[in-house]
Amino acid sequence: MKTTYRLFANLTLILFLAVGIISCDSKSKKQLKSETDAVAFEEAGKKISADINKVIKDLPNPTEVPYLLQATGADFDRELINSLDRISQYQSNEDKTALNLGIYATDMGYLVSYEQVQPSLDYMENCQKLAESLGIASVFDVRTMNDFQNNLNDPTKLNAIISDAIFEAEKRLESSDRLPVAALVISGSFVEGLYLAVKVIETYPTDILDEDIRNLILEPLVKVVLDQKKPLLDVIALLKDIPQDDIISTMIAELNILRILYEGDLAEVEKKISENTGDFILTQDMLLDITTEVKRIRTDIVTL
Amino acid sequence: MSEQILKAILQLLAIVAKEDDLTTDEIAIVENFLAEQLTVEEAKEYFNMFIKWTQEAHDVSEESKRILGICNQINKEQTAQQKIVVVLNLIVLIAADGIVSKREKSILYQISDNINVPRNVTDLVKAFVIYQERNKIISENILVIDNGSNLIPDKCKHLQFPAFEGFVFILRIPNQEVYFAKYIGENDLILNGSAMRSQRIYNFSSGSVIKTVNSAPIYHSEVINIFRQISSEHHLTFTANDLSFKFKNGKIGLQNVNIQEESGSLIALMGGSGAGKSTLLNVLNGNEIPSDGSVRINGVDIHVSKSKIEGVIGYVPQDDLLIEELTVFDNLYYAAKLSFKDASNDELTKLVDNTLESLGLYETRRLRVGSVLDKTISGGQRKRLNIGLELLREPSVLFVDEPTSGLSSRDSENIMDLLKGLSLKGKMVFVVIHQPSEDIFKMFDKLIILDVGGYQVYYGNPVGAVSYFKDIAKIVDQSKSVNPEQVFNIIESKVVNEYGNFTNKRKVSPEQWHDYFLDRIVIPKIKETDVIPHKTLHIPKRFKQLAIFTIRDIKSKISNRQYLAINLLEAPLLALLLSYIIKYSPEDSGLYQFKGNVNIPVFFFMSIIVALFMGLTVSAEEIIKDRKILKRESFLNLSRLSYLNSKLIILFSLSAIQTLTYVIISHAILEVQGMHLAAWMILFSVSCFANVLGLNVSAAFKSAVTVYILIPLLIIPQLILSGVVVNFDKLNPSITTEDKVPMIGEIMASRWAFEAFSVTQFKDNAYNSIFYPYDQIMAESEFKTAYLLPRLVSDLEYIHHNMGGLDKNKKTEIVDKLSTIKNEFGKQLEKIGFDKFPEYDQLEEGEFDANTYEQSIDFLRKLKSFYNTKFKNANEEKQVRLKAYNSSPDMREEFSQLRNQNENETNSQLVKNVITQHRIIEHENELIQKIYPIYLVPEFPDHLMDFRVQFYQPSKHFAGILFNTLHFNISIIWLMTLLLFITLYLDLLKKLLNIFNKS
Repeated sequence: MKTTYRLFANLTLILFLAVGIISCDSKSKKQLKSETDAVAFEEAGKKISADINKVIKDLPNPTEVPYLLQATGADFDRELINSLDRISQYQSNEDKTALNLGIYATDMGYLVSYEQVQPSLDYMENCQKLAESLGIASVFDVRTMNDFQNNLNDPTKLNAIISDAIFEAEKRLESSDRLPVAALVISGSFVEGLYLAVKVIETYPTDILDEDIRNLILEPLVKVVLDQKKPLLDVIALLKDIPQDDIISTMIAELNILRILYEGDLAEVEKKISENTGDFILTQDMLLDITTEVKRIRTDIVTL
Repeated sequence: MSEQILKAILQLLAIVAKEDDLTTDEIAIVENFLAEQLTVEEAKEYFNMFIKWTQEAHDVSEESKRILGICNQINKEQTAQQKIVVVLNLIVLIAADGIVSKREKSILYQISDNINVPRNVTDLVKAFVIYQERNKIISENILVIDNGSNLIPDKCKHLQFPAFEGFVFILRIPNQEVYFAKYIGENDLILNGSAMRSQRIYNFSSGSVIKTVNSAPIYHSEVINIFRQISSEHHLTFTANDLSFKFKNGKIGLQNVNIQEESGSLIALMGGSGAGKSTLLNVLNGNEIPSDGSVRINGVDIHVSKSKIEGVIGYVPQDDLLIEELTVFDNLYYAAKLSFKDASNDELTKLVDNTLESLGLYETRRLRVGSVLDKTISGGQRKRLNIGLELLREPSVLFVDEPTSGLSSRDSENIMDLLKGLSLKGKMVFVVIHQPSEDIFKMFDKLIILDVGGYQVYYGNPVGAVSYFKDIAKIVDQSKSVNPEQVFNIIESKVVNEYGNFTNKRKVSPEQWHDYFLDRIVIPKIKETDVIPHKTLHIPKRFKQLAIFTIRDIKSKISNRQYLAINLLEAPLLALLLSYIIKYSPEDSGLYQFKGNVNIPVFFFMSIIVALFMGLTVSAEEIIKDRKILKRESFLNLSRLSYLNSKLIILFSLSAIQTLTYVIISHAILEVQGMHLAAWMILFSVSCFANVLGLNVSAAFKSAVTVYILIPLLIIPQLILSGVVVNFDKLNPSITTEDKVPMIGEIMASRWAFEAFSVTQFKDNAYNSIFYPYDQIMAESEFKTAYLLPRLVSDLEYIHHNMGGLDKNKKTEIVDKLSTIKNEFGKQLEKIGFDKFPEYDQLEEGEFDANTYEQSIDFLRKLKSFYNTKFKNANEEKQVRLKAYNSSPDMREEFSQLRNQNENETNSQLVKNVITQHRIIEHENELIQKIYPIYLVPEFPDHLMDFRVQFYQPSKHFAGILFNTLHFNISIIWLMTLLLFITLYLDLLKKLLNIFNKS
């Protein structure tokens, strides 16, 4: 019996040794105090600049344009929004992820405004994935998702939830010192809003209604486009205000093209509408330039 | 005897008789011989034949040819004993005229040589036949019985009865155990019921008794004992003194049983049912310890000095001890291998073959034993084989429990012949026997009768028992037959009531019979020898036993095709079924992608359950099946450790094969990549764990049914507490541990296995492993900046605002919050150095003031910046790598393939735990991170040995070292397995159950 116990003791010892051996590839005890961390902490302390917190505010709301579009009575068109197919490709590039998170946020607003419940849930789920790969999983937490699911029959509420979430995401990015990423989300969202508006106008049927009535309906739509001037300027201002890099500069350049259009042709159109002379007839052609440009910019964002 | 043989013998007799004139003596002898074999009519016929042959022409050369032919015929059919009888008859014939001529002698030798009877035997028989005077033949094979007043040569054995008249000579033919008796005297002696005539020679067969008018009867057993006493090299004494036995429940099993025996006796233990026969047997063989008294073999107390008599005792229980899947030969062969460590394989084969021959089983040696229901050999053959297991090593004392029950009378006799043969060789054989036939009853040398309550009521010669009881009961009966049933009829006879019906009351109670026994029977004390009992058992070393056990078990398993097929096909079939069913791809996309299969965690979980199930079911019956064999082997003092290890070797090998086929097939179907080895290691470990668990159960419970009913009880907790079916955070609060896996979960092998699966899949797959280091830093930073730091800020603000208040509740809350803050600050400072926040010590109630608050907020701001930078740096590096992987459309495609084939989204979501409601919780003044466990390296163990962490953490802390979760978890499963093996070895479960049974 005695030898047996000794045998067991030996076995146990062998087992522990074996564990030790197979775990050789495991790291040995992590030194808690790390010199690099200490230095990095000192460095980080110095970098704190005062009040960076004021940059993001009064910026365009991703759900606003879709809501207005729906209010004009325009029909829902699933083809307009960005499909979810490329979502995993976006994730392999942070800029794309940020821009398309913005795009999807607006798309979600569009779906929600037209009470497309099932697709909106799918988009919500995928936005969460993008947020996660941006390191802001905190935004789309269980509460947000639950809120969303509990208010599926209330588009207004849903729009608010989406706006809040995106705003929250932007703020999170800002507070973690990643303003450029936040700016990209905002830019994406803005571009998609404008894109939806011009697309709705572009694809508006030309042959079924007579001109007067069509004009009557087109007018508010065009107004939506025209109203995007101020948000455009806000976004450009924001982009200029933050540390510059390639993508930010590109974005500024692209948006500046739009700004020029707004300040040229579109200002004209706006003026005529506001004068309301009666003989002015709105046509889709008047928006041709801006439509082309927005489509180009948007395609650049959603393709890889 | 067949007609042919009888004719052959008669011809021989005729040839011998022809040598001289046919005298009347000779004729009388032949007539006598024929009368013994045949009816009167037939005897006449044969006698005429004999006369005819004696008158045939006398031709020497012709005769020797004929002798040769006749002898060949005899050789074919007659046993050695029968041949000696033939020789005896020839000698009697030759010597009838008182002279043995030269020619007669040469014919005699010619015949005896041809039928293989040794010359010395022939000479011995001749001398015994011829000489009338007791002092003429001097041989150790002669016993003289007389009244002791005569001088007997020293060499001869001598038995004296004072009132005996005349002489009885008994001749023993050495090695053949044939006895002849010859009486010289005037009186009437009765041999087996018929009168003995002077000068005539009689066959003194087993169970014979010679009765005289005025002296005690002479029993066959008594006679052979006298011969053997000295010839036996290994003298043996067996004494039981005042044996008493009490059962655990207090019932009395035996009362004052006494036995005094010497080697060479065949002892019957008889008694009605419940009289305690088996109990006595178990006390005598050392299985049970008597509550009083002692059992000694050669003066060695078998219950005290067990090791001294190791291998001396053999025991054949009533149950089958055979391994049904093995052949008759293998059953004996492995038993022999386990008994004789030094014998070579050839020697063992020879020994087994010899034993099989002596058991009459040689022809069946290649047959599988088969179960009782699926018979390949007969019941009698089974029994003989069982005895053969013990016969192999020829124990000096053999105990046999009811060897003849359920057997035909022919089979019973065969077995009793076998046992008798053993006793004649000098062994001591105790047999519990029930309703033996008269013939079998007479074979015994001694009889012990027990009555209800364990009273000894008879001890002595079996034949004498009948008259003993008749005498006491005063029954007058002329029948000469010795019917053992009569004894029990007398013992148990009931009182008849006034209506002539039997009542339940016995005429003579067991106590009374016992009193009679004490009164009338004196057990002669024997002198115990101090010779060390002869040992035949040489059990091999543990390691060799292990090898033998293993080979034996493998052989028996291989012979069971069904068992093999099921066990080998089970795993691939399950793998096929399971993987096919759960191979999900979304309806709209026809393409299957590992990444999108939402069932992968379920697959891991099911794999574990499959491994557990296979492991349990394959082992659950193992020990139960071997229970009886195990009992026998423990009787032989064979190593239980070796036995268990042999089981482990076989079961583990089977588990290895099963899990390997399972992994290969299921991974191929589900396109799981890069974790074959890990998956196999996990499943193999789980299966081995289940094997040992099953063995534990198998060893503790008595029936296979119970064990199979128990399996759900063992599996279901493993199911529930694997961490998959029910989230560990959502258990009954009384058993949860908020910052760790609950204790009840920690003891489940399934939990360790599942965690190993998920963590390895996520962390080590070809895609995620590229980014894991960056993701880890980013996740840590994200948690700190998004959850931890804001929480600390808000707590600080709360304290700052409510500091001076008087509200008692708020005060305790402040103390509580401060302590949490201090803890968390401490954790941070440990990493970056306490010098970074000198106000640390002021984070106490009373010390905390506005300045501390400002400093704390400032420190947190710095911390936030620190973590943001960390995040950004890691992110930058990650983006660089990502870019490198996506630098061209081809590479992008490849990269996306890599991801689709290696990452599984559902599993990732599980280990990242982003769907948790509470991503940060407070527990015992610590803030616990619940989100991203997969990225959370355990940093602050409670103590050196603390390894418990949350589910899905990537590494475990133990003894100051961080272990990879996969390796750590597998080690834990093996540790549990080892623990179970220890409980198995010590049979703890059974002992525990016994405690419950008692209470």
